[in-house]
Amino acid sequence: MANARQTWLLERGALAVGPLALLVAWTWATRRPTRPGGQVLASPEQIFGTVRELLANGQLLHHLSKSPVRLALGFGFGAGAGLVFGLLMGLSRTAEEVCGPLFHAIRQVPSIAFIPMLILVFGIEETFKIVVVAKASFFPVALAATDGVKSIPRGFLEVGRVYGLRGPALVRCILLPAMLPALVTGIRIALGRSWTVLVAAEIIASESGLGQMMEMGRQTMRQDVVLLGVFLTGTFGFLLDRSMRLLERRLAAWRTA
Amino acid sequence: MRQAKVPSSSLPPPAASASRAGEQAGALHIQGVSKSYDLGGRVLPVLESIDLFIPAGQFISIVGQSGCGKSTLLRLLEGLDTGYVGRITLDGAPIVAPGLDRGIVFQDHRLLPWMTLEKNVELALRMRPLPAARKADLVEEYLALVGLQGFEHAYPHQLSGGMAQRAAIARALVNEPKVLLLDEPFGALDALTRIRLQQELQRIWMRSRSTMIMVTHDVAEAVFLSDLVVVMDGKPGRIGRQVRVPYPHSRERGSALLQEIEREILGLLLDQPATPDPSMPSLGAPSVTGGGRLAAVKA
Amino acid sequence: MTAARSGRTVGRRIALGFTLPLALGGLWHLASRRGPGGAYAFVPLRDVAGGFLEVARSGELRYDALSTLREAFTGLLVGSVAGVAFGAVLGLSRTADRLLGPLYHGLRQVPLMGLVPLIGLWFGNGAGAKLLVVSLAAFYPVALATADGLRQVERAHLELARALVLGRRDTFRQILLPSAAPFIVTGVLQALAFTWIASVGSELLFSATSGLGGFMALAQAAGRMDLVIVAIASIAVLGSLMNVAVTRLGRRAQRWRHAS
Repeated sequence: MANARQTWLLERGALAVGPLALLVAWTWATRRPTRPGGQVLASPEQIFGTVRELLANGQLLHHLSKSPVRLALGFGFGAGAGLVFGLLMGLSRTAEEVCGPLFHAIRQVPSIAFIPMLILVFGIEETFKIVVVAKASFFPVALAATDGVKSIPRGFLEVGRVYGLRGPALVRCILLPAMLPALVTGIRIALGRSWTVLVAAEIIASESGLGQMMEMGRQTMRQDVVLLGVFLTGTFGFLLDRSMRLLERRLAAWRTA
Repeated sequence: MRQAKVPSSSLPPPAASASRAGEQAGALHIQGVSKSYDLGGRVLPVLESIDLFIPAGQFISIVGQSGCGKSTLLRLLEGLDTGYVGRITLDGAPIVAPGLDRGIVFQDHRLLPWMTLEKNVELALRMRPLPAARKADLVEEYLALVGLQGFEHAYPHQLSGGMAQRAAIARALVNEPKVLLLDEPFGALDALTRIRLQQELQRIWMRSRSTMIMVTHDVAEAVFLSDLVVVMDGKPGRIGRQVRVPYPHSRERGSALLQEIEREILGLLLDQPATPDPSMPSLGAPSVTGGGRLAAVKA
Repeated sequence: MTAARSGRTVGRRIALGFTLPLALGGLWHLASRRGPGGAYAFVPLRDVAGGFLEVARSGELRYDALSTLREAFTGLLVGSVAGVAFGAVLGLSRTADRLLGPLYHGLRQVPLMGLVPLIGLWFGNGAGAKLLVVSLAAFYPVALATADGLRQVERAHLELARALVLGRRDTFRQILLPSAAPFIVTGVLQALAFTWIASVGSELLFSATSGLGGFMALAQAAGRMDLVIVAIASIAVLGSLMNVAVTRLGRRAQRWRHAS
């Protein structure tokens, strides 16, 4: 099937053309003599230089280590709480009636709008960033969990009843696996939103992290640093999103046919 | 005699202290059961005054038109639905909730898609305090019983409909229940698979001899498998006739004797007197008389 | 469920819905009474109400709310126009899709707020920079919706166009555009939520002094938690109102689509 393979390669190649063309254009544009008023765009070589520089003085690793950790911590708390809460709201009508209105009211507030308030309460240290990430993770996961539980086919729940499964056994054997595809989607959304709000929080008030690195770069007019930050931020977000989508696809087989 | 009508209360109900001889008793006694659904003000009766006694170790089929409540009755026997008038007992003990002394096979196999066959069958044993080794043995034994040895690690979506349903039967049987309930188990399968699985089911029943109660649309299936065919009619559902199939197992599909009974039951269902086929050779049984007698009784 | 029972249920739901906020409100009130730190962190609700009246009366709240709204809608307009244009290119030409698509998707991966330092570096801190950010927030979803809308045109209709030997222009106007229109409209409506959030966010990150975000930043700098809460509530309320309006309009658009 040489033909099929050729087509596949061609498709892959075509996808790369755009970015490659951009790279070429970029390099060419930045080779031209500097315009009066300073450089508009840093060149690719400069970026490489920047990477080396920041690696050498340890800053790059410092920032790279801070942001993901905050994300992980905040996400861990937020998603964990969201899962439990969502399960509760999905399983108990009363819980939904009691907690629902407040839940949806707070959900309406964009996470980023909480930052000033959290800064007033927690100061500008680590805590407020982790809390804001937790907020951004909590709601999509809780929503996904509630919807996930509610859409479990009644047939499976009856299987649970028929074999006497209760409590933890029911959750482990039936509820969680049945909800998993919906949960993963919720987690994907939560990670995306959390990453966004974390970068924003770091730009607003932080001593470290990718957001802060970019903000510093802006203030010191260091294009190359800012561009590097943009690239790293985008790549990290992309990796998170991609891996979750892969997981979703794998789990699709579990979805009831 | 071949087509003796069995009036619903001709057989004596079990004594109050029903003896649980060994593990395999399994006599069901349904007394005066009525059930209706409440739909926003309207009351929809589904079952009306069901009286039925099912002796242990028998294979019973329940046939009837759509909507006559036969599936509802099965769910009551399993304990999935409550809220009815009347009394249902298994060996004297009232049924109020699902229990491991009864097994059920649904029309949609309801194997959990995230578990292998092995795990699915093992799920039935989860609430039993047995050692792991024993559970593994049981799972293996019953998968082999339904002819699925070698497929322990397959996932449901990898199996055909027939295989999945067989796995569901294994799961329902692994607890060695007194009563096996089957709710149109082969309804979603193609004709050939259905026939094959009916033969499988007959074989399994002959081996285990537990009470089996099957709801089905397929009269031929009912007659092939059952000792007694209960015909339900009307909306709401009521017990109509009960037709004995007094032939020994294992049976031949399509034998003339079975076809006679089929015709009779179809006649009941279609509300027409059953007329014997004059082209059928007499097989030593008074077919003409039987038909005539039935026609007379029906009228 | 009988009619009587559902009546009781509705009343019950409303009552239950209030229990938690009321309970939390009570706890908050108690917390604000505790010692010196209490009133700082848990601003007494009375103060929040007072703060609200203060800025409502002075017109400051209305001014800032309108400012953010204006930004959001302007950004929506600009971003949608650009988005429809770009999305049309992507949706109509497979070559363009192959070339430009990866770039678009790549750019989309960078969180919008993460682009603020770069945009600030290139364009400064002014209104133009904010507009760019907010427009981008609309651009992404509208471009996607347009491209998808154009691509999903039913084959049957396309074949009809070929059978009638319609030129490219006519095909576009008579078949592609009407078919894609509901998608585009839905995309634009949904983009409103994004531009609203982006407006507030860009005000915060660009250290603006106007708009609800700017108002909130100033209140935070002055340590006035009560006003910060007022700002949060205003953002939430306005956002929800717009959501509701969008959902209603969206349903109209869908009905349209099914009617065709």
